[in-house]
Amino acid sequence: MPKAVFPAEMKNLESMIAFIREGAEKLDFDKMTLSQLHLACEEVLVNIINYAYPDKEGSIEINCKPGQEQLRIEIVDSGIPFRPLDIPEPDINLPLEERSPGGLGIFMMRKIMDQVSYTRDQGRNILTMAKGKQP
Amino acid sequence: MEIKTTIRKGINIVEITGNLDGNSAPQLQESAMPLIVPDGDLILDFSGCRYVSSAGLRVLLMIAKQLPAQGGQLALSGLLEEVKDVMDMTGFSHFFKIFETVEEAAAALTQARKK
Repeated sequence: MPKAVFPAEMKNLESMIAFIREGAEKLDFDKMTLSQLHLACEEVLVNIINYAYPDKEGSIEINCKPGQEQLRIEIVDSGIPFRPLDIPEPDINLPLEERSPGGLGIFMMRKIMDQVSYTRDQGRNILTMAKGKQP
Repeated sequence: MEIKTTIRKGINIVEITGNLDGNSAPQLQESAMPLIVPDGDLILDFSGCRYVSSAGLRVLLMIAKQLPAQGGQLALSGLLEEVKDVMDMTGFSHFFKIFETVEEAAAALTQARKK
């Protein structure tokens, strides 16, 4: 199982995404799905980079598990507890005046991924996401 | 990401080339803020952009709210499949005026002004 650890800094975002794209290669996803995977992972990673370690430096561990039919991605940090599944979903039918940008990133991640689960374990946030080849 | 701003027939046109993500969204904000002026019409052309993250959407939402408050109009053009997907997923396509080309967007904004 390919695994990589990165310092949780914005300048490493590209390398993190490249690592995930590499893990996705085996599954031969179409271009659109790859772009969606990129988006979903970036939203999670940027959240961790911006909020997980307010007073200290920290790291992000990424595990990619490419299966026959689906890719599982595990993103782990040791920052403050954050349950993405608790973030309220934005109402996407509201008119412009009432829309706020909050929660959009996590919302898109949940829409894109087939499965998302969260565990807090020994001071770590573990987010597991899966995306299959078939929509 | 690269941003090129031009004025055509009184309409500001901002061409976005590259990814509009957490790294580059502040750059768009910086470029667009001076264009939010009374009665200023603005077209954001995405034909060179294949990727928009929530950080980019945040800036788009800000422009979309502030420009009409000044009497300006906003239109988007040239959305590629991946960007259109993001707009649909988030409901942004409900309230943005979206056109195939800059020319069509410009014609529509000019027409709306005449009314």
